[in-house]
Amino acid sequence: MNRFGLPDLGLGVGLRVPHFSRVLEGPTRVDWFEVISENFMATEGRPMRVLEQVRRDYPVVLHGVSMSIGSTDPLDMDYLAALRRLADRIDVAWMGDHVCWTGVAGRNGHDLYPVPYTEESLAHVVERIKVVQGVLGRPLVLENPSTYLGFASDCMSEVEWIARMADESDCALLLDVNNVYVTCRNHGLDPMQYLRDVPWDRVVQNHLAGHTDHGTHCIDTHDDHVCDAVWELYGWVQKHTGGIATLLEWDGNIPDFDVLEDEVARCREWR
Amino acid sequence: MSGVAVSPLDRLERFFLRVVTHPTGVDEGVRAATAEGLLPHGARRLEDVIPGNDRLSALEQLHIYGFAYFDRIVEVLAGEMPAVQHLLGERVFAEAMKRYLAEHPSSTWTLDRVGAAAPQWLAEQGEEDGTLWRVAADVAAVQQAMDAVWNEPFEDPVPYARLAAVPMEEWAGARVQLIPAVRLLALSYPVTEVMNAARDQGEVVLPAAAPSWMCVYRDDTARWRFALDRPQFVLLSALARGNSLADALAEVLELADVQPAQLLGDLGGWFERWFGNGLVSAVHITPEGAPPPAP
Repeated sequence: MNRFGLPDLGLGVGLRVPHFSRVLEGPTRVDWFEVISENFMATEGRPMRVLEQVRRDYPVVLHGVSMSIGSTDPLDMDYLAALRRLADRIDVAWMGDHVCWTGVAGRNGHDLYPVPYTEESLAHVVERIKVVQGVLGRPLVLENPSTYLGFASDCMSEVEWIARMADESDCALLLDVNNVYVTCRNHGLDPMQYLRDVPWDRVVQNHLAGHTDHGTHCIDTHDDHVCDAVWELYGWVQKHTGGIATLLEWDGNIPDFDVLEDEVARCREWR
Repeated sequence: MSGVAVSPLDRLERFFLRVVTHPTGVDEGVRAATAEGLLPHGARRLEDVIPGNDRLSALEQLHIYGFAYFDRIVEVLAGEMPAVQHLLGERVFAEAMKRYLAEHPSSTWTLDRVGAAAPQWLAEQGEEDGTLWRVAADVAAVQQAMDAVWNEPFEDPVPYARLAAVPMEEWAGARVQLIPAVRLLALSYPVTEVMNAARDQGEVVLPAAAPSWMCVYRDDTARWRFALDRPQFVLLSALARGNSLADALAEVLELADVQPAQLLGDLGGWFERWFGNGLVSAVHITPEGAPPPAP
């Protein structure tokens, strides 16, 4: 059990528009759903109606992509207020975002850009997490990113930086096993060593996803089945921790819902 | 981008974003960012900032982010305006949207607003014969309206019987309240056939310019569109603004080609259809000339 007392929700998938009707028909072979926060923050229409119906039957977790916790721009307080309203309305199990920044100087790139792993960025992000957690009234659950480059100014490893960030801000973590694999492949690191250095008492959720292997590097594309190497890492995590809520991500070339259910069934074999 | 970098982290982020969002690619982005003095303190070349590794150079690593920037947002815009993409073709659409993005970079957290200026921008493209682009602009406006109604709140529709039950003496002062999930569009081209062809992945025939009107709405689960004629558009628009039936009809009768007898003959059928489509959420009866009820 994590130090936040957040439950192991079992195995979930992301709620995506092509599956709205199928999920509402029910029943499904998944335990819970994760939604992209931003897709539901500015709607009172069909997406919100579906989300409220889904919430009656399943736990729901919010997972955002636009908080930009690493940016040097001021925190967007309107965004945070809207996020809080959504979380309260849906009564979410927890909510999170990514260790990244998405824009600066008033411009948004809508991507998860890498944070340099420096003392300066660490202090900056820790302070922002404290503010965010105050606004949201709950622990923020931050996910390790997939990264495709490192900075000359990096003075510690990603996992060390994230562990210190979590400790100093008292936030929770989402450990994306596929991201660990992708990042370690891209930077020539040992994913098992990465996993051994994770502060597991702060991890409340895992992500699994497929990626694209270009030989020289991997891209976190979420458009395919989970690869064998990632399953092996996931198996270690589940055995090491005794079980963590797990979410299967599939955002490109989205297949029929029963394909996702089958992939979720594979997760059960590793738990 | 605005302001002046104040810390090493800020400077690094400004450099990075300038490079990966440069409209002609990250190579030119590095040159531009360097010339603009955005290179982080103490760095004289890119490799002083991003060292790269034995498999990918710093530029190759930045290309991953640069490609993703345009690829992702163009994909979002294509999802928002699939008929525009079909009309222009994938390659032309992608190139056009990259140019659009260079002129209208995103400044908000939501991708939903990235394409907000696209209809106007499309209408301004095409130097000699801009028909293709002006049609694209109208199609884009319709598709953005369809996105907008998707996110509007639900209000239960009322049946036509509610209007039919209004006593004759109170009819003129009655107000017909439309559901939030409706948009009324005045266009420069009749784009219904273009949008049907795009939906069916068929061949598009460009229409001749002609003022056209369209209604876009959402019911419980789906979005719909249908063409209006000008009197229908004027009447629905007047009702949407909260005018009484008498005032709305007066607006219609100001149109040059509308005959009162013809209008009265058509009216029942129009309302029956609009109520049947679920466009009306209330019929308010107030004395003629009184202000509309508070929403």
